[in-house]
Amino acid sequence: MRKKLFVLLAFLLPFQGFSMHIMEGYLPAGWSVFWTVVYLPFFVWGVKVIQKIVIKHPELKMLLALAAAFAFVLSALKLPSVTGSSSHPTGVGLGALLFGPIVMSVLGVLVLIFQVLLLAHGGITTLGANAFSMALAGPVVTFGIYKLCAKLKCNRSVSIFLAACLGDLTTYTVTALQLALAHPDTHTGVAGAFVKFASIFSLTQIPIAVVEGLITVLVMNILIKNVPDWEGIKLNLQAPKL
Amino acid sequence: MFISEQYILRKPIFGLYSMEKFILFMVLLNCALLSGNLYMHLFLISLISIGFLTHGIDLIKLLRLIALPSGFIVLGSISIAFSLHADPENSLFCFDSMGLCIGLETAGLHKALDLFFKAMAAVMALNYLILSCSLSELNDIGRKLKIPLILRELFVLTYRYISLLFTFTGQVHIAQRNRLGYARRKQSILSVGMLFSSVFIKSLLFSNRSLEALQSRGYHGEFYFRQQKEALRLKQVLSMLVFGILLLFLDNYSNLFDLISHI
Repeated sequence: MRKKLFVLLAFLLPFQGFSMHIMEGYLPAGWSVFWTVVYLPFFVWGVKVIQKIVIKHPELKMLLALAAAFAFVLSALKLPSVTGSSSHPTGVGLGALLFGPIVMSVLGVLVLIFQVLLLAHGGITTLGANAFSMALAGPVVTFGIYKLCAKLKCNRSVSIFLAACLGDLTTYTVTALQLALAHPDTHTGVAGAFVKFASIFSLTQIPIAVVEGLITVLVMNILIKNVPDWEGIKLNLQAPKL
Repeated sequence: MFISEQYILRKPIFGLYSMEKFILFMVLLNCALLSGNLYMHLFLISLISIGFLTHGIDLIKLLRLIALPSGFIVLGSISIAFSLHADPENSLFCFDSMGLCIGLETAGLHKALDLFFKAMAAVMALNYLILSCSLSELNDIGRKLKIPLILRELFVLTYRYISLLFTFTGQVHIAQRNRLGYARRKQSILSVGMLFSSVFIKSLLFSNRSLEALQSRGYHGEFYFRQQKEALRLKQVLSMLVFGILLLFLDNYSNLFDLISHI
């Protein structure tokens, strides 16, 4: 039994953290349409917010594009993973803390599109599902936990770690749920399929979430110390006045 | 680093315009997604692979290209192939763990294989779009699909900045490695943190400088793109649509693929 588990682990661990993205063709057409329809209102809301931001402050267009480029570069960099595998951050935690969930809902889609076009990770028909998990569920949980911790007056580093780590885990849980709904197990249905997908992805995703949480703490602390107009930048992007 | 830089098509496929390429991609993708036949998926994978091989991509590069999405597809397929409550009599093999009978049943294996090849066919169709369209062509497709200007502007700007940030990230990463920044695990985490923050700070500087450069050239909040005035050619569009419909017809209403499977 132990031998079998080791063989299974040895086979699974080399896979990269990009496995979070549902690949092209992996979801049935009905589910692809469903997740796109579910995500669309948030995307439209995000676009409207961004349009209002750039009408008032045209100079922020460059900053938004750079924010998307930064999130993409972040997701393409390798993390030192605990399991020894080559893994990549999702950028969900840092993105949500830097730019807020509304802006992230649009930037996340841009990042996902570039990951499809430049790295062949993800897909066009699965964009709605991937966007829902990575550009909406993850950032909303990250931002919510960060705000909750701030209300509870938790230590800043602990708040950032919890927000980034749990946001990442939320992304992976939602992805597992999306896959389970689309491909239920023949005997145990959606619940059994969810357990299968969640446990098989957790081998790589839990260590990644922990490392990403630690790195997000480091990055945020360096940024708060070193960027002079930090609060101003954060306010411009996170709290657009409608 | 980028797929379109690593795998370059040396010759254009059928000399299609941007929107025609997108229509061909949609035809191939729909054939892959709407068909439930393994042989149809194998046919599509072979067809697109032959297209790549005859247009400048060698076999090793093609195999690398196919292997790129394998991480997710293999993991997902394993999850589908295995059952947590397998019937030991109908399983190819199974083992008991924590009160669960984890096993590989024939039905699960067939489902996983079907999904694997379906996803591979869809990914190959996507690869066709990625390798045959440049960024300006994709922007042009976006314009013709009436995607809002703000999104297209952000798309083009983001692409430009990605190249700049990648160059900078690469330089910092080499500098860190040369100073043994990745020698130990704890050191690696610190180095990655420093790398991310320096890239972010650099992003802010880039943003300020490019705004100054644009304003000094008369920027007032809107970008103008060169528009490609290529009208859709009816003959090309019709032949692509007929090809797609024919494939789906053969898949649904004839037993051609079943005959192939018997052979």
